[in-house]
Amino acid sequence: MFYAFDVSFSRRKRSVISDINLELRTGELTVVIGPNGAGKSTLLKLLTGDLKPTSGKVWFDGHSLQEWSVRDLANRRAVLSQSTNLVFPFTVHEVISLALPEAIYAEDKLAVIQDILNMFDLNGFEHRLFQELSGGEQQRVHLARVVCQLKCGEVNKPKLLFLDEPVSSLDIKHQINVLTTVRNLLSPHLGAFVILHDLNLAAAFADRIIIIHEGCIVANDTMANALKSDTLSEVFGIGMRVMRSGTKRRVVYN
Amino acid sequence: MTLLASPWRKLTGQQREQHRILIPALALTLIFFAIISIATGAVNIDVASLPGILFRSDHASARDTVIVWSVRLPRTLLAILVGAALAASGAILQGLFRNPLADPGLVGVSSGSVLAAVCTIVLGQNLFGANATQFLPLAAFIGGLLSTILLYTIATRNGRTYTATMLLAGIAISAIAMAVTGVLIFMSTEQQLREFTFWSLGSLAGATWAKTASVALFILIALGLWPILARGLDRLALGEAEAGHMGVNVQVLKRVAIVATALLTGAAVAVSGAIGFIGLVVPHLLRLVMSPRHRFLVPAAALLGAILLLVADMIARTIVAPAELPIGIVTACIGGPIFLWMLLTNIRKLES
Repeated sequence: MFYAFDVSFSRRKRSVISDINLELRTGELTVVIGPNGAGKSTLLKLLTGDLKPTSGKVWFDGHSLQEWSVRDLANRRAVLSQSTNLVFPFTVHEVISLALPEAIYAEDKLAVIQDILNMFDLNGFEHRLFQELSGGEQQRVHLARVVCQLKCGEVNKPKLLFLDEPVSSLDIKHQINVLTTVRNLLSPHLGAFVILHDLNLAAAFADRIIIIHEGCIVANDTMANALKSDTLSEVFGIGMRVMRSGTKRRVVYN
Repeated sequence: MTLLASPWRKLTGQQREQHRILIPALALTLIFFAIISIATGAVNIDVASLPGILFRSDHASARDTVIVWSVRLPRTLLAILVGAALAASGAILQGLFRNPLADPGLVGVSSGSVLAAVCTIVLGQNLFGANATQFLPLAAFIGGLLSTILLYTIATRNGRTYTATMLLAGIAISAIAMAVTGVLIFMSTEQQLREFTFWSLGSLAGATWAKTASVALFILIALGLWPILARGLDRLALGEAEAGHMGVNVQVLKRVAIVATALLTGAAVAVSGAIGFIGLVVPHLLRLVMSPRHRFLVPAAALLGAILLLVADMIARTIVAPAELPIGIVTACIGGPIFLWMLLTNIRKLES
């Protein structure tokens, strides 16, 4: 339901993404991995419409991305960018309620927000000032906001969550918590597209893994099939071994 | 990133729900100062006799009735309108630029309006004849609009406004506008020269009902745009891309915000010249004690701006009575130090 056809993107005549074809499905957690500068964030921006592809097209639920109005799109897909800074002293509650659609906004929205706060271990944070939180706490608040946006979006329509390095500032407990929460959100109507750096987190949570190297897709397969010792070693440029135990995979460094 | 930290900021979010009390309290304070403003001046009028004068009862003294109806009342209303316009335009401009240091006076919007207004005075008589002054609000609006668009184009790259670029671009725009204004002053007659002093320092002197009515429409229309803007500006605080992801049509939002700012600043400049710092100081002070959500911030700013300008005007016309100080001097005396304090508390962020 989310497709990219021959998508390419160049910046100052330098190709950043070349001829990418992919499909994202609801009910699946797709994880993108790849070295720095491989084009992961650029790919995410092309898929969310922040960047226009130099050539190729992105389709969402039967329509090309350009045909969607920003408002309709906001009801169906939410995006967590890598760096988001917030001006003005908003509270956590206010930051999360920015994601609420107008109709709900006016009503009593405390229950919705309380629910979301619980999901991200942010109980008791609602009246704290966002700017006074630690980096990891801020990241969780943004995640909560993005998830809140999708939860309040249209029901029973395919929806997608795009997360660019959602756990980069989190401690190990919260990394696991956040990814478990995202997994639990998956449904026949909701899929997720997540950029991660930690290969073992990717192995533990992904249904499907896309490996990107120098703007091209090197692998796009189920987690177990995508993670291979030689592919990873070549892409990341250091020796790596994939340990297997049943359906689980663990990556170790030589 | 702590913007403009201060001891006051330790208020918790719950305490900040004070807008429920704050906005009515500001409204009452405004009424209080409006009454004081009507009563004080070269001739003091007993507050107790005001109701009689305002409702034109037969017992009111004829002299007081004339003073109140033809001098004090239009001037008080004009101060309220201009103060509200300047503070609200500051709040909207800061939301648009995602920057608490944006102010129509500082970033060149006012000087664009002043230039357009001065053009109308000097050159307009050839074009429109004696009616030139009627076009002042419109000219000032267009001048403000052009300089806001120019500033936004220069200072915002990839959806991010850089404080240093914004302030420097503002200085450059002001300098160019002042240079052209200077040329016009050079060309002008003695009489026109007197009017320029009024523009450059700002003054509410010579308020008439006609003047007040001519800008009331502009200001009320622009203030009326605030409910449309409020949610979008809140979301814009996260950045243009994020606002777009949340369903804000950022291009439309920016255009409406620029037009609203230019209408408010242009109207204010057209009748009172360039009065600085109200737009900078008022939203900043409010954000220290209340939620920065524009739904509450903009109306609260309009009220506090009206109060501040009313008080500044009372100071301006009583401190050296029977002469009168240009009100721009009074607001600069109050606003300048506060601006400096804002810069100092922000210094680390600005230099990064």
